[in-house]
Amino acid sequence: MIRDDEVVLHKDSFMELEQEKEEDEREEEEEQGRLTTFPDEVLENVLKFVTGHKDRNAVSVVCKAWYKAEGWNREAVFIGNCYAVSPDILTRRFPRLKSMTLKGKPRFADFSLVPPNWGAFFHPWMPVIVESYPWLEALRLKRMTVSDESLFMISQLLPNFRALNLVNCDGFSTEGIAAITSHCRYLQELDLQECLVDDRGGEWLSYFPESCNTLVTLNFSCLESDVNFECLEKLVSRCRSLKKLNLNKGVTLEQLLRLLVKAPQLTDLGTGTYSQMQNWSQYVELRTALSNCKDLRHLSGFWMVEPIFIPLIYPLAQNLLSLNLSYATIRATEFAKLIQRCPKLETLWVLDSVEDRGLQTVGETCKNLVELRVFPTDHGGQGSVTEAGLVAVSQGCPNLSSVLYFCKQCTNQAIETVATNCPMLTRFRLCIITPRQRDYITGETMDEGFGAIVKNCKNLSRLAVSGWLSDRAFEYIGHYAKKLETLSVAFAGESDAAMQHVLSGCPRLRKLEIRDSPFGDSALLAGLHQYESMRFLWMSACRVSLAGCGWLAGAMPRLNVEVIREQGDAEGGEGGEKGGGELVMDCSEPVEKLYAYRTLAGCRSDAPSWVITL
Amino acid sequence: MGEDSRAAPATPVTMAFDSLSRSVSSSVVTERTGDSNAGEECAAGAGVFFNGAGAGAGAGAGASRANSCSNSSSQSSTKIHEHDYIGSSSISVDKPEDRCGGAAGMVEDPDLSLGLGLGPAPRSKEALDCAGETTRERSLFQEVKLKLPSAGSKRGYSETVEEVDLVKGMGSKMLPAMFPWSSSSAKNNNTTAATTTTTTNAATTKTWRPIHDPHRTTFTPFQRKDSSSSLSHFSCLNQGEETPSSSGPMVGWPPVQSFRKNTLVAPAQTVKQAAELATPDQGSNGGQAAASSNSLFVKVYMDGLPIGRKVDLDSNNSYVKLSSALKDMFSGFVSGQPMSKQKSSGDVRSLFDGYETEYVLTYEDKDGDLMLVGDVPWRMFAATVKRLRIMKGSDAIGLGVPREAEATS
Repeated sequence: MIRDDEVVLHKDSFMELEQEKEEDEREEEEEQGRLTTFPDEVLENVLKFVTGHKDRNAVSVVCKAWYKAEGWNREAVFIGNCYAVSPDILTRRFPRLKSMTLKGKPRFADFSLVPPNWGAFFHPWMPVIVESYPWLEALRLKRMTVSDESLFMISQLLPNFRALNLVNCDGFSTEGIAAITSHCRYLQELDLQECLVDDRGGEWLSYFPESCNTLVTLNFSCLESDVNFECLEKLVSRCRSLKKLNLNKGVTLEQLLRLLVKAPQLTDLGTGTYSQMQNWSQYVELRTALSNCKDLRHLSGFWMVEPIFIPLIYPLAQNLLSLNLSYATIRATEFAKLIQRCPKLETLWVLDSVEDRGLQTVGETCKNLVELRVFPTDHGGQGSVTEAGLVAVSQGCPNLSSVLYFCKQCTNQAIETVATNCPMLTRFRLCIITPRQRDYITGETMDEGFGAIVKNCKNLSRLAVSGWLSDRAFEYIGHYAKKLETLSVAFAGESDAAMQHVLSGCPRLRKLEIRDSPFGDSALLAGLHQYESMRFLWMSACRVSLAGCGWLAGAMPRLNVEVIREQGDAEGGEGGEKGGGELVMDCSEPVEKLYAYRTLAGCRSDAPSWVITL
Repeated sequence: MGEDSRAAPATPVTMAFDSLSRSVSSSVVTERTGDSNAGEECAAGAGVFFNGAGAGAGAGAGASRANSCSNSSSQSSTKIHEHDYIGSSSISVDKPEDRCGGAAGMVEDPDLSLGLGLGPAPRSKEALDCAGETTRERSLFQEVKLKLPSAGSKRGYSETVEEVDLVKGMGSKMLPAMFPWSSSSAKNNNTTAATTTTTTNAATTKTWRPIHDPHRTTFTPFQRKDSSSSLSHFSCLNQGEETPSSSGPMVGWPPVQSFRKNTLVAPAQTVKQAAELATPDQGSNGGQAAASSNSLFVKVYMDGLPIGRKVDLDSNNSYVKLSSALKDMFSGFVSGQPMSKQKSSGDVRSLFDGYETEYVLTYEDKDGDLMLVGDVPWRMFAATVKRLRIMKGSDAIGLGVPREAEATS
C-alpha cells in the first residue's frame, strides 16, 4: 500500500527525472521500435500498483522498457541471499528504494550447523545505503549479523527511518537499540524477534523521547533485561496507534494490566511473564482490561504460564485469529478448555505438552485453522504427542495449509490420512524426532506417507521429510511435487538417485537443504541445470567430496561454492596451521559442509579462513 | 521412561554400550525365562539409544532399565545361552554379575566410542574388555575400534561407510541390501571381518532392537530389518560434532531453533515441578516454582514466629544441606539455653540439637498432610513438599495425625 506522503515524495522527484528520461527514451524508441505506445510516466503510474516481489520481478522481465520503468519505480526490495548481489548492483538496478529486506545465513544456521562468524554481516551495506538511499524507511533483516555501528549509522544518517525488523539476528547490543530509539524521530516499528542480543540493560526504552508517539509495533520479547516500566507505560499511553506490543519476561501481570488499560486498541499482544499475581483483586481487573481490547486478534508470550491465569483470556478467545503458546507448557486439560472457546483461530503454535487430547479439541473447534505448529517440549525425543494428534487436527480442519509437527514416531497411514484430509497443504514439515525411524506399526519405510503428501497436495511448496526414507520417497517427490520450492532432508535416502530424482523432477526448486544423507558427487553434479535458478543448496555430512565441489564450481562460474570446514584449531589466522590458505584436504575426502548459492557478486571477501570458496 | 533418568544426562555412548551389552543377555532372558517385560524393556533400552536426539535421556533410561534386566538375568545365570538370530550357533555367557560390574565400570568412561565417530579412540582397553564377555563380542568392538579416526572428532562419511562395510562383510549373507552406502569402495579390513562373520553379527543384530515404544509389542517380527536399520543408523548417526557430555549426540537435531531451545529448557523443568507440586488452586505455590528457573523455594515457618522464610530446595538439594540452611536461618530464634552437645543425633528432623527446647522439622505435602521430614528419599520429598514447618518438640507428639496436630499447636 502506498501512503499519501510516499506518493507526494515520489511525484516530486519523479517529475524531474521524467524530463530526462523522456529524452532518453525517445532516442531509444527510434532505435528499438518499442511495443508500447504510451509514455513512461503512464507505465510507471500503472506499475506503482503492482506490489509484491514476485509480481514485480515478473513485470521487470517483460521488455527493456518495463525493466527500466519497474526498476525506477520499485520501492521495496527483497533479497533472499545477501551474498547474491552486491550493494553496487543493487543501487544501479533500483535507485529509489524505501525498504530493504535481506536474508543472510542459510537456514540451518538456526540449528547451530553454521559456525559463528561465517558471514552475513550487514555492515558493508551501510555506506551504500547512506549514500544512495538516505531516505530509506524500513529495514528487515533475517539471520544477519548486525553491529552496533550499523545501528548508530541508521539512527544518525537516515532521517526518514521508520521500521526496524530483525529476526534471528545477532551481533548487536542494547546500545545499538538505544541509538535507534533515541534518534529515529519517526520510528513506527521496532520488532526484534528471537535475536541474540548482548543485553546490557533495559535503558534503551527510556531513550524514547517524550515526543515519540508514532509507534505502531514494539516487540522486545527476546530481550532479557527489565525495562523501566514507568517509561514503558508512558510510551504506550502516548502512542495511540500502537497495534502490536510484545513484552519480555520482565513484565509482570500487574504491569500488563496497567499497559492494557492505556492501550485497548492493540491487535497483537505478547504478554510478559504469565504467572504470579500478588494482589488477587487485580485478577478481575486484568480480565476486564483484556476483554476491553476489542481488536485483539493475536496473542503470544505466555512465558512461565500458570494455568490459573489462562481463563483471563477467555473473553477474548472467541475472536482470536492467532495464538502462540509455543513457549508455554500448558497441559492438555487447560489447553482444551481454552481452545474450545476459539472457533475462529487460524494460526496455532503450541508445545507438545498439550498432547493428542489437546489437538483433538483443536480439530473439533478450530474449523478455520490454516497453520499449525507443534514444537517439542523435550528435545530428547520423549514427545507427548503422537501422529494421532496430527490426524485429529487434519480431520477437523480441511483448510490446513501449513504444518510443522514434531513427534517421536509416525505411521504411513497417519500421513496418508492427513494428505487426504488436507489437500490444500502448501507447507508440510514433519519431524520424526528419532532419525531414521520407520513406521512403527508396519515397520516399513516412511516413503508411502510422504508420497501421499506430494501426490494429494498439488500446491505443496515446502516440504521437510524425516524418518527412514529410501530413494522411493524422493522418486515420489520428483514425480509429483511439481510446485515444490523448498525441500529439507535429514538422515534420509539411500543413494544418489534420490537427490537426482528431486533435482530433475522439481522445476521450481529454490532451496534444497540436506544433512546427514548419503548423497555424493554424482548427485551433486546432477543438478547443474538447476542451481542457477535456485537460491541455494546446502549439504552437510553427506558424501560430497572436495573434487566434486571443485567440479561444480568450475562448471558454474556464477555459483559460489563454499566449503565450510570445522573451525577446529581455530587460531584461524591467515597463516594458520594450514599454511597460507592452501587446501590441505584430500580431494576425495568428504566435505563437511557445502553451501552453494547463485550470485552476481562473485566471491565474497568477508569469508573467514575456514570457509573456502571454490 | 523415567523422568529421573532424564534429569541426569549420562554420556550417551557409554550408556548405549552398556545397555547394548546388557541386552545381549537380556534378550535371551526373554526367551528363556519368559520374562518378556524385562526383556523388552532392556531391548528397548538398547534401542532407545538410537533414538538419536534423545540419547542422553533415553540412554540413561535404557541403562537404568538394563540394570534391572541384568539383575534378573543374574538369577538364571548358568542356563543362558545366546544364539545368533538364525539360531545357528550359541555363545556362552559368563558371569552376568561381572557383566554388571564391568558394564557399570564402563558407564563412567566418557570417551568410549563404539565406532560411532564420537571422537578419540577409547581411552582404556579395559573398558572394552568389560563390555563383552565373549571373545566374539570383544573382537567386534575391537574391530570397530580400528576404524576410529585418529584425530579430530569429526568423521567423514567415508569412515562410516567403512564401518558399515565392515559389518556388512561380517554378516553379508544376513544383511544384503540393508546398507545402502556400502556400494562404493570399502577400505576396511576384511580379514578381521571374516573371522567374525556370523556370531558377532548375530550378537549385535539380535540385540539392536528398533526404536519403538516399549509398550508396543508389534515390532518383534521386524527385528531383523530394524536391527540393520539401527545399525546403519548408528553408523551414520554422528555426522555432527560430538561432545559426549552434551545432552544429545547430534548437532542441530531435532531441528528446533536454538533460541527456542534455550528459552524452553529451564521453564519446562520448573513448570513440571510446579505441576507436580500443586494443583492450580493456589497461584502462589505454582508461582514459587515457576518464578525462577532451577530453584524451588518453599516457605518455612517456625512456631512462635509470625514471619516466615523461604528456602531453596534446588540449591539445598539434600536433607543435610536443608537442615544446615534452616539452622542458619533460624538459629537466632531458638528459645532456651544451649545444653551439652551429647544429645545431638545428627537427625535431620531434630534441629537445633543440644538446645533446651527440641524442635522437629515437618512439612505439609501436596495432600495437605503434616509429615515428618526425612522419611522419603529426597527427590520424592522435593516433589511433594508444599511448605515446611519447624515445630516445637512438645507439639510434635502425635505426628501422623496431621490436622489435629496442627490444631493443637
